Amino acid sequence: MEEKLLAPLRDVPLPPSVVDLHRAVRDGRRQVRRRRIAATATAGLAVVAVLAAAPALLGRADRSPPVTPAATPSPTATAAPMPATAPATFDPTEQYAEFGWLPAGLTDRSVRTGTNQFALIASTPETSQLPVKDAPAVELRIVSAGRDIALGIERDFAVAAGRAGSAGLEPAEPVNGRTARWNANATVEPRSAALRWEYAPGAWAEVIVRYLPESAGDPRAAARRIALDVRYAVDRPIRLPVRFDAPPAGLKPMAYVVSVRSSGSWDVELSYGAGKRTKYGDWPLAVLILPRKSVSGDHGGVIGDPTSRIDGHPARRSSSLDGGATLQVYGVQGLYLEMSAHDRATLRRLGGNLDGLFRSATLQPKVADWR
Amino acid sequence: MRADLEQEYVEYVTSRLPALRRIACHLTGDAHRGDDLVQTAVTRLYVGWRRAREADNVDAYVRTVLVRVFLDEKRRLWSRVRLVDTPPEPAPAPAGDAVEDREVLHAALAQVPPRQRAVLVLRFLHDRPVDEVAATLGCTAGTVKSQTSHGLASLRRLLGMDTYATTGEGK
Repeated sequence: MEEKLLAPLRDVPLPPSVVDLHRAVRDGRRQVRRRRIAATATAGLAVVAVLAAAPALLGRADRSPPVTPAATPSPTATAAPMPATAPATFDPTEQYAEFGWLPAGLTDRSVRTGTNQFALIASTPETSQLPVKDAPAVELRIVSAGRDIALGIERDFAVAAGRAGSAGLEPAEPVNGRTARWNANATVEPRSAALRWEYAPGAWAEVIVRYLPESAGDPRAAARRIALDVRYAVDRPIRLPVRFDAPPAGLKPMAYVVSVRSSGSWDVELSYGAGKRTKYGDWPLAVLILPRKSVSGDHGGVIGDPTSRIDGHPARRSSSLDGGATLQVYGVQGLYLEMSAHDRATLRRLGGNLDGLFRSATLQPKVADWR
Repeated sequence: MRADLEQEYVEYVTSRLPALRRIACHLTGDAHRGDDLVQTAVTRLYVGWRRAREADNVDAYVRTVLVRVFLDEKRRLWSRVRLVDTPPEPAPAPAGDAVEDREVLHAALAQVPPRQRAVLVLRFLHDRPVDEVAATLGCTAGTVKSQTSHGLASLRRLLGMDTYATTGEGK
């Protein structure tokens, strides 16, 4: 009888699928890389804090000094100047913007660059008691001219102008005279707020505050104050732990992810391409580097055991679905390297394997030596 | 992931996509929201494919991934909002009372609490046995039966069938 009650739903017609299997493969690969980083970062929690101010590590020491987060909010803070125009594209090798005021304690930094989007994340230091995803954090998102910011929390948030939609947006008091909106879509976590504003004519920025401690006051007030104090057009070159003898196979930087933590751990993901992504949506070449002294896998299935060697270092070589290949190298000056050519054409440009790219790399394991 | 495993993953998901979409549509009450659910689930499956492919029953493993993504609290909060610019095209459907009945039933099912809904969907729309549903939800067979009973009661109440005779199903 109960089967009959629900029977009319058995053959409910479905519209054409919008499930994107290529995107699932790309996002899955990304998540695997993030899990490797997370597994290594957690293992490094015992490292004594050696970094006095993480923000400085994302920029050259001889450039603008890092902004020291204020300890307490000040309602009299003045607004930082806003640019007259938005960049047509961002330079992925540079940090476009910097936080001014931030709630106290958000000392870890992660910068994510791309040609059309820029993100800067400040978070509290990782502790084993508090999962990273639940830690207090502030994320600044900025898109280039002619782009909108997606309403949700997608990692790739730059969408074509007019394509973001407006569901869940509410009017907000202008930010430094510019149109602003509260975004309810990006604030499902407790004590969160998301404020987006037109930082230049036709171009938008957004700040998302998550898990703000009670002691830091109202999340919306904090989001507004952070928004008012963003520094634009900083254009600070992003320092890296690696240099290649020549640009990899004529490819140019397309996106960087650089995270530096006050625990001493860090990770760097560099993506290169010639403007076009592969069939599965990856940039053609990706390089992941993080500190990890171990020369074996982690036995947790996140980093597999080495199966070969390169120049005396334990290594693991694998091929990918789209004719690409990955080279993992363990314990190189205390670092773990993972290089992936995501399609056959890129691998061919690199000479058929990733060994040459590895050999052309000069590494700087100490953050202070990054260039 | 090795190329052969990636190929295996792509072939598997491609072959099971219609079934996964149908379950997701029943769980969410909306084909497009269901596709969002499937997208998240198959991405999660990619990450765990090495383990999934070694399961005794890969299909059951994947249904578990799908249902657990659905039950994830944040996911449910997130899914309250549809982030599209234009309304999705309606599914092609024949007109008539059957369609109206189906829409009423779909709307009622969507209001049944998520875990009870998952039990009803898996048992009565996808014919999964009690033990498998219990494994999928990480609970006992007894809990599945009680959730079935509560879910059916909720559904009848929502359909205005409070006086509908019980059949002993779910006991």
